[in-house]
Amino acid sequence: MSIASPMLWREIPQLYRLIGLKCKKCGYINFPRMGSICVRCGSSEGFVDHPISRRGKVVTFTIEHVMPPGFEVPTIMTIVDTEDGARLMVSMTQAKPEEVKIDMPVELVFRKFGEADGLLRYGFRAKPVKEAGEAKK
Amino acid sequence: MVGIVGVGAYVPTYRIKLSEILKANNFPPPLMDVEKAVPNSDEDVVTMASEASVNALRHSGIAPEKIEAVYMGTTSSPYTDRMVASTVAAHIGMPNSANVMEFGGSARAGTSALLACMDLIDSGRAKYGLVVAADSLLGPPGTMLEFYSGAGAGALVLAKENLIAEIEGGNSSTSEFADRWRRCGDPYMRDSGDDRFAREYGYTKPIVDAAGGLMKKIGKTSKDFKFVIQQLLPFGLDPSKGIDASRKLGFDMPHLMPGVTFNAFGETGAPYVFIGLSQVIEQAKPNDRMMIVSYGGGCSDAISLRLTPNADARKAALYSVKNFHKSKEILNYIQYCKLKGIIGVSA
Repeated sequence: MSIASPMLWREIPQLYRLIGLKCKKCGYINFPRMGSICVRCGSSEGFVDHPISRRGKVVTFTIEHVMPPGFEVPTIMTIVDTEDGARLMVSMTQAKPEEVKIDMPVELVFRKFGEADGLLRYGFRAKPVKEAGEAKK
Repeated sequence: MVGIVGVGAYVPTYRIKLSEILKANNFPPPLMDVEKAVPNSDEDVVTMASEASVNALRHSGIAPEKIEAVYMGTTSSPYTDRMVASTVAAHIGMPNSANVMEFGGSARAGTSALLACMDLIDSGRAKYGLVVAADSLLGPPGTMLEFYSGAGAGALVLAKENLIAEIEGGNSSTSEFADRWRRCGDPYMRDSGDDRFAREYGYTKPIVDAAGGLMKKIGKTSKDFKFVIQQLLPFGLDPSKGIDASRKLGFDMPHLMPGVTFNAFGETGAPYVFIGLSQVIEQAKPNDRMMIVSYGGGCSDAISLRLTPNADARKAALYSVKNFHKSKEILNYIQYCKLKGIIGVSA
């Protein structure tokens, strides 16, 4: 039995469309989407779906030189704060390790990451914004 | 009248020069160096088609929820049994009621999708439709197919109102001809290896028939057209030989050059004419008439378009193909082989 398909199906809103949950009480954007309690204020008043902005800045990052089979080496994992105040952990794409800096502007792009049982997984990764005209979302 | 309300393209950042591929395979340097686009390891037809669709929707100004059809053309889907157009539709945020379809078979898949979507919109069964084409082509190392096989995506939004370009008509020509093919499970395209045969018997006739027949159908001559966006193939590494087909119809370099992307992105397959169209719409003026002529495996589709005054007003929202020409990073042959999976990255 493959668990890849049910996992993928549950995560489609966040994986494909970057939709977070905005707390009805404090307005904090919960991402990834999970549970029924806001991770910031603990309220259980509920959430509204919130499409997260595709632009942001690097808060911090790590460079992984040893990765399990099937992953890029090196993999750059980063915490990104988006323009609308969401905070997410994503991997970086098309970035050179020596160029990654804190506060660096990034755009979140839809890319392929990983495969399970032959089923491809797509989602968002952070790509450095190199030219003023490049980011568009 | 059916027409286009938005266009968009996407081309990956990475490029490799023809001279680099030739050097790695012990060939002499080319007379004129060109580049082709290479997707990153995390890019495929799904991600490229998604980017192009977002650009086209933004240009059209139409909300994704209003799109009632997604027609996608590709020859390099990662699946044999699973639709990827639905992934594109889910990424864009289209309603579940959207009519989602895939077209394949040859590099003509993009225009096949366009012809089908035109009829759908014309029939009134859908108000807005998205046509998207994407391909990531791979040729065996050291062959002509490797020299030119590129990657990219292009998308069009179709409707009947507020058009930026009216579609005046379409025409097709089909012949049983094998100049390029790829069997199920084979990562590489194969070709007949005989350029003159492929050009004279495969390429030229359907293009002349499709485009010539279209002009007759709509009552126009070559003088009425300002631009022709023709799918080019590198006969003897010289795509200009393909222009001979257009010369037979009365077109020449000034008609063709504005839509050429072969030298920068390679033969991108199904999206080639859409990327070229996006590039031409940017430089064309209202009332300019243009023809897109696709070619794949002995078959050709020709579609005639005329720009409306509305095109100028929407130009600010068009994501320029110039951006893809400008933002690029050149790879060496080893990096190229890793990204294309020709040599293994890890287990």
